[in-house]
Amino acid sequence: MEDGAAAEASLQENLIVDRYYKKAFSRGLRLLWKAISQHTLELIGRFNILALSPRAAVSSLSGGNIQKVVVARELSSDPEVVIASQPTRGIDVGSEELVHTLLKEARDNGKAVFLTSADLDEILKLSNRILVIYNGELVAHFRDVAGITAKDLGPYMLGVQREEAVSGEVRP
Amino acid sequence: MEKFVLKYFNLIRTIIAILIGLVISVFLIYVVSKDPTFSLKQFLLGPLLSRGRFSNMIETTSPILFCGLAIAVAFQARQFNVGAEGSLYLGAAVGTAFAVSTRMPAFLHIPLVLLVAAAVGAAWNFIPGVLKAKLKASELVSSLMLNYVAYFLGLYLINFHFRDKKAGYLVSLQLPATAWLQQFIPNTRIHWGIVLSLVFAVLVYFFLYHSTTGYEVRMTGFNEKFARFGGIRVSRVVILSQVILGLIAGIGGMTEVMGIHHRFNWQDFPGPGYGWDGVIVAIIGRNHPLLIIAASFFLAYMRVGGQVLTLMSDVPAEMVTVIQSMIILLITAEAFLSRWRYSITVREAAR
Amino acid sequence: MSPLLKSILSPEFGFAILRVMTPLLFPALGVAISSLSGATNIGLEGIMTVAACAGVLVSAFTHSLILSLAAGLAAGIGLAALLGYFHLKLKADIILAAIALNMFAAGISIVFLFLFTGDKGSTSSLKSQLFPAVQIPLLHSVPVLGPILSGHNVLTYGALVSVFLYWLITFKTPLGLRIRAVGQNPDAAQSVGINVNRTRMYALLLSGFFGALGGLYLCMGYLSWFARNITAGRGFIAIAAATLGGNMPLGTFLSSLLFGAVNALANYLAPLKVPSEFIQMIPYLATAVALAIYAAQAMRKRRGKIKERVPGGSS
Repeated sequence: MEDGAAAEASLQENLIVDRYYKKAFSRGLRLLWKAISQHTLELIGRFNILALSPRAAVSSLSGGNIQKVVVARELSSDPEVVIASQPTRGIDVGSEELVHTLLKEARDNGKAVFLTSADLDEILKLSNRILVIYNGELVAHFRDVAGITAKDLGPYMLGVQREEAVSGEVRP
Repeated sequence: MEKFVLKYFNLIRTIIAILIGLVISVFLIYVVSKDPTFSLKQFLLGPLLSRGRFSNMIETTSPILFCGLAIAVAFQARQFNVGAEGSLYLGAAVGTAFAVSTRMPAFLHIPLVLLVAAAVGAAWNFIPGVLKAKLKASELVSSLMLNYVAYFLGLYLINFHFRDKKAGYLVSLQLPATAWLQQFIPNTRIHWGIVLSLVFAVLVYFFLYHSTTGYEVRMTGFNEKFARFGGIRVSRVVILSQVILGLIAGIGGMTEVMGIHHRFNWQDFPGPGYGWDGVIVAIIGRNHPLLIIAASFFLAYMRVGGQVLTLMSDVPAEMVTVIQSMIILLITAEAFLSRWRYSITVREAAR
Repeated sequence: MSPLLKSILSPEFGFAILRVMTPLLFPALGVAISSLSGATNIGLEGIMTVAACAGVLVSAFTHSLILSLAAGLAAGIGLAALLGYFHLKLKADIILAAIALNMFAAGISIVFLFLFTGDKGSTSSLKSQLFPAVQIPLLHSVPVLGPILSGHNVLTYGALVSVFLYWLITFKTPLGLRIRAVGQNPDAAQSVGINVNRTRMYALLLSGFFGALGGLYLCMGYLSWFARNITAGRGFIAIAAATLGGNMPLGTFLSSLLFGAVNALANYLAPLKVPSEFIQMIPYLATAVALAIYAAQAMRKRRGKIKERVPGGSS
């Protein structure tokens, strides 16, 4: 939220930072605010952001909603790869659900989603594969996560156990 | 009512700061002057009481407005460059040198002279810009130092190479009439440069709020990391915002020479001070071009009021500087009246 | 040997360096201590101005150096306190507030000047006093070093002592420790119970103290009058000096010495047929160049550190 949003800028200004120069939103040097507002309203609807208007300052939103703004912007740019680092830290349960749904949606649409988190429940809930890093080294790679619990991950996380040869092949 | 207050809180806060400043000025004048009521009347009503003084106020607004706009562009990018003074001075000096050494019809001469001043001003503030962008050197300190360097360079240029030896004092050669900005209201010195300053205000407004580059400037100012992660080329913004500052300030200085003095006559160290006035009105106007117009008029009003004050009474004009600085202090104090805003917000939310 | 070179290598030049350095060193120490606490004071220009004005006016009317000293200190520390109040309590941006206070100082000093002398330009009509110069008894007769180090104004020695004082406060007192802690990591400092705002206020008051001494020396030692713009940007040059010195006692002293040397050199260039404007711009140009060089060095060091951390190629 610190780096992903500009608190004093408006909602719509925050949402177009990675796309303001595109043809839909600008003609040469001129910004097309009507199109930008329209786009913002669409995103507000799609990602269920609670805000007074596209011109409202982002600082007037709740923490969870600010997170939704960032997620909305990143996911709506239709990325091939999504890197989500602590995506739901500090936000309310409802928004957390929404972010999880969106990440799963991205995965189901064939995008590569790389999730790093300290929240084990989140990882266990969402992941197809789990990698554990200890002290800067890859120490475990669970290709099949059915039935895995926090207890299975623990020893690797503590450095007590490590797989002999960990390969990072990407085949699903 | 309270909803209204919340919506325009910043504006209301600025106005209250100004009112407090004026109240303090009343108090100070009472302390300092032997005939306070007379002095006060001269200060507050002076600029309005005569045609000459009123037009003086409008004339004074122009260079202040130019510099305010210049500073605002850089401040919006969070670049604390205060080099408007240097660009104004050196741009006008080199522009004067060019104007005095060339002969051409007015329709060419005027824009070319302005172009030279703009280019020099822009190039001058390119230096702090690139030092910040490439070396992370403080643009505040470098622009401050360059202001002084610009003063001495400009002074050297004019006094050693373009001096009017026939004049009785140290001043440049007079600009040829083709390089004058016409004064178009009889009995005043109001010239087309003043109109140009208003045009620039509108241009800067559109630039900052309706152009892609202006958007980049503002987002960089809001949160540099956010802008960079979004894909904005921040180092380009850092340099460009300061170059634009120099450009506008250069034009501001030159229009003053072309419209009012018709000579380069800024001899006093460290310069005419319009650059610092620009900082004042940029702060009062919260870096918004249209508010800066109002702030510039206000500052010019107080300046002329101060001149009247010093002429007609026993209070020195520097009193105005004291009052202005107190107003800025109150305006920059974010927490000023914050408790009031907080209590209104809570009450509104409860409704 | 050319006459210029001869004059540079003379003890008189060494003396001049220390003399010219003093009104730069004092504000530089002021900037340094405030920077250490994380609230950089760029208002030293204004602090020097009010202190100088107060000192000169009081000395002209009371003929007492003690009272002038007190007045100058009160004015300088008072202005710094005002900065602290607006920045720390009212949450004003410290840069903008300092700019406003610099303007305030310029205005109010002229107002007082006018009130007490009827003159708006300078106090030349007043007979104000100077802080005395002192000869150091034994040092005085030492060849070469003697003429360089002895005979300075008491405040120049005060500046040298201040460097030591600055070192003492910063590294040997609990306050100094708190100042440094707050500057490096205010959140961590707060979490162990340090009052961040109060610590920063103390740092600002100290910067007011040093700056005030600089202003007093400027108009009651280096020169003997007060005038508009008498500080001529020294408070700003001080920012560069402190930065170059890493805000450390020795570093700040050395960079102030360097600037003093360059500025003193400028005075010696007058006999050469260089226009005075170029000579007068030397202090400012030198500062800008020094700033650029320092920044380039800092950047190179940062890049070097990053290259160290990221192993090139294989882990």
